[in-house]
Amino acid sequence: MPILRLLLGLPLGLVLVGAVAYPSLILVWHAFTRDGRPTLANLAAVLHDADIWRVLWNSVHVSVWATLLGGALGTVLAFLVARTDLPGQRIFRTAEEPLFRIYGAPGIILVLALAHYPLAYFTVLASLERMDPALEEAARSSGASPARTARDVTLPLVAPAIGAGAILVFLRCMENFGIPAILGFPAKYFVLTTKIYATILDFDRAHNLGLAATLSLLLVAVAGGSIALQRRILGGRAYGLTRAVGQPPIFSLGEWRRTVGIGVTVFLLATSVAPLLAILLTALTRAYGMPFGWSNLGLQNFHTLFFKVPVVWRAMGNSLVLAASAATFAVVLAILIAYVQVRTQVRGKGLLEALVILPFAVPGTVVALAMILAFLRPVLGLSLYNTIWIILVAYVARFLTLAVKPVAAAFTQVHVSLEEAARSSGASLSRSVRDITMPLIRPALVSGWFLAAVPAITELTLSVLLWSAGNETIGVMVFNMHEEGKVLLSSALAVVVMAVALTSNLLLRRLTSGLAEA
Amino acid sequence: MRRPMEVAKLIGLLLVGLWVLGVIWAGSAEVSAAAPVTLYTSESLDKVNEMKLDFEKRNPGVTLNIYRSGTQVVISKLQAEFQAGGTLADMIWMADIDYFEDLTRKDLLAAYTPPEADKAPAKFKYEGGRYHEVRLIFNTVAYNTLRVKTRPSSWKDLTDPQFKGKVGVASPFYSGAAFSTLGTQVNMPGFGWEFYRKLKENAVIVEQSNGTVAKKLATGEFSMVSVVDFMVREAKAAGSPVDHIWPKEGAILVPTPVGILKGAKNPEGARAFLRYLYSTEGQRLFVQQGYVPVLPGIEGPRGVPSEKLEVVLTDQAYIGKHREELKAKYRELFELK
Repeated sequence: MPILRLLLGLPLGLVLVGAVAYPSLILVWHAFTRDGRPTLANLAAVLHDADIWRVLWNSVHVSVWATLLGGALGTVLAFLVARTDLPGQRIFRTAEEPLFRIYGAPGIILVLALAHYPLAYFTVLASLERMDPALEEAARSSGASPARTARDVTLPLVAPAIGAGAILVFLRCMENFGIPAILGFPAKYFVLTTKIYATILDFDRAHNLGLAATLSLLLVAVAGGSIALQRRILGGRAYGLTRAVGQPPIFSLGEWRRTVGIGVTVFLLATSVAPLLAILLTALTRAYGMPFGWSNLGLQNFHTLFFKVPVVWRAMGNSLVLAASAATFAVVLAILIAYVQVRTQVRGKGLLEALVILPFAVPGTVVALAMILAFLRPVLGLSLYNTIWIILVAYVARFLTLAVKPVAAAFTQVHVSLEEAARSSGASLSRSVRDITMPLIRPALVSGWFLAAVPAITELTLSVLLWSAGNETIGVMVFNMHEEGKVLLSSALAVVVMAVALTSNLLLRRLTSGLAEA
Repeated sequence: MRRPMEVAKLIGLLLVGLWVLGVIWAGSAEVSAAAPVTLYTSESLDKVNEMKLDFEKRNPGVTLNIYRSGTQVVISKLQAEFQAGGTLADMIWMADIDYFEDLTRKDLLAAYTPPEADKAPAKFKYEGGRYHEVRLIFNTVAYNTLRVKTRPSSWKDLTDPQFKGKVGVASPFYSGAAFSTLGTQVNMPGFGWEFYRKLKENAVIVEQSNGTVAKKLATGEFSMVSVVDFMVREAKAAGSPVDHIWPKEGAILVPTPVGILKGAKNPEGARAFLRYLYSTEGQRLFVQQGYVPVLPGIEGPRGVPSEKLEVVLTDQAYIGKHREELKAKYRELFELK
């Protein structure tokens, strides 16, 4: 049906070509030209710079360690929550929010790991929750020990999710800008992203944009290599998994239950609540450098923020609308993409996947650079630059893959035979979609929406280069204040942001849990 | 292939719904923001916003939109927009006078001198009124009063080994004030690059912005710093243990001009804002914010000596010609990559 294909293909094509392919080509064009003439001068300049290799090593070094740390944290936590009788599970299920991302403990690796382990956690948790516990129960009742069951049944089944989670964490660490910018700059420790940012801003340097574009291609190569590696490792392993609703715990922690519970609680307190308290106290501080005490605490930073800096209100509205719109667009597109990826055999699926992951695999700074280069002048009569739309386009392109991963994983786990069985039992198409497919992928849609929306609320890397007067985002406000040294103010704003993020999160989770039960 | 029919309908509906919502939202934004004055600036975010509120109160019907970031970021954005054929900015205000000269050469600035501006010293009206100094900022030496017992007197106190590793400066790659200071000091008698080599020997820490330098001075991370004056007075007034001196060699004037661009979308509004900056109310708000006013007869902020300040004027001609060389040398010396 050509009309149907058009309906499916048009929005997909529009987004992927307009928001990804075209800006990417423009970026590559800038990397390999100078003044409009093709040249390898940029590449040569980058490859002959010994410093670049050190910066590259820095990037890989911090990212690998942060991935190991963050991936292990996320996986272990997800397993404890989804498969054991850990006390207080319901709380832990909602407590995992990388809210402390704005500020963190010293040490890029530590902060990167703590900021990104929830990605691994969510991915593994979603997979565990969809996995039928009957498999593990069967292993147990056939006499396998809990450890053996976990190793031989649970682990292989969630391995794709662990791999997917780890690759997400690694890519996010490689592309992270805010953390190495704030923690690395004083120590003159540069990673690729901060190096590219500095190169973009060093407009006195000849051909700085071309060099930045070339540097970004280096980062694309690293990211592309890791994705290829992941596919090689996980390739061909697909498991048909089915329902899992209200399952009992599979593994008893026994006498360790209390200890592990306390350990998890302490970890969460130390990594989420303690930094929050630190920010809150900073926000309440009247003047830096005075001894800590009641006399030095007050609400004046909040007063300044709300009554003297009117732009804060607009930034907050912009960020919320942008995050919600981008996440909705992303989930809608994710259904199409996941469907094409999992259920069809069209040619060019590899290209499709590459286009989806590309804006996420390269540093946001570079996505922003590509957007600027692509949309600085009106395209087809449409002027995006200096409007809020360029930020929305960048957000959708950027966070699309976050929504696609869980949806595609869900499509993979809902074996096509289930739908076929429903159809051959006489169910209409709409009935099979409604009763079989939708219930099974709904949790993935919700988690996809959150995975896209949560980082968008506090997004910094793209918006810091794409925002314009009147189109501020909350991340930009916090970063600009921090960069300016207005830490008391930025902390006060961070407190407000966290309150908003937490409230909207709890609210939406309430709504979606109601949906899931219905 | 009829399977995706339902899904497609759903998606179509959602897309249409989103589109409508988006258009309504964008439309309402358009209506409410009729012909704003757009300012690109490196001014302190909270201060310039306070100014915006006061200006809008006194000029009903005019809206001021602000793009505020570090000087280099603002210039990068402007450069990119000029190359693409036009900027959103109506006026610009930042700590890089060199860039204003560049724009003058390219004939991109519109001359306008508010009546009040003629009362200010003539040297602060540049290029026939294409850009102006509307209040004065100085780079000075500041110290933490809990950590430094003897009040410093000279720029050279920054190289005192007893403060090794506790001395901070802002990066000339980010801060226009730091760049002006660098370009001036390398030509000051008894200073030059030797002074910067000594700073390096004293394990100086190069921060990005002046604000960060001032903050770390207050927390005691730094004992002594080179930083712009008003931030220190502001922190001191809030109760932080900091103070700044007027170095005996002279404080360094940091030009931070404001100018109106040719082709401004709201030139009348932009001129109104410039008039406001020069008005008694505007100048008094500057003083309240800790800046030294440019108009005579306005009392300066507390802590600024009323007698003639020892000031080194920035050598713009030199800085303009040696921009790349200064940056390259600095980058090499401090191993900033």
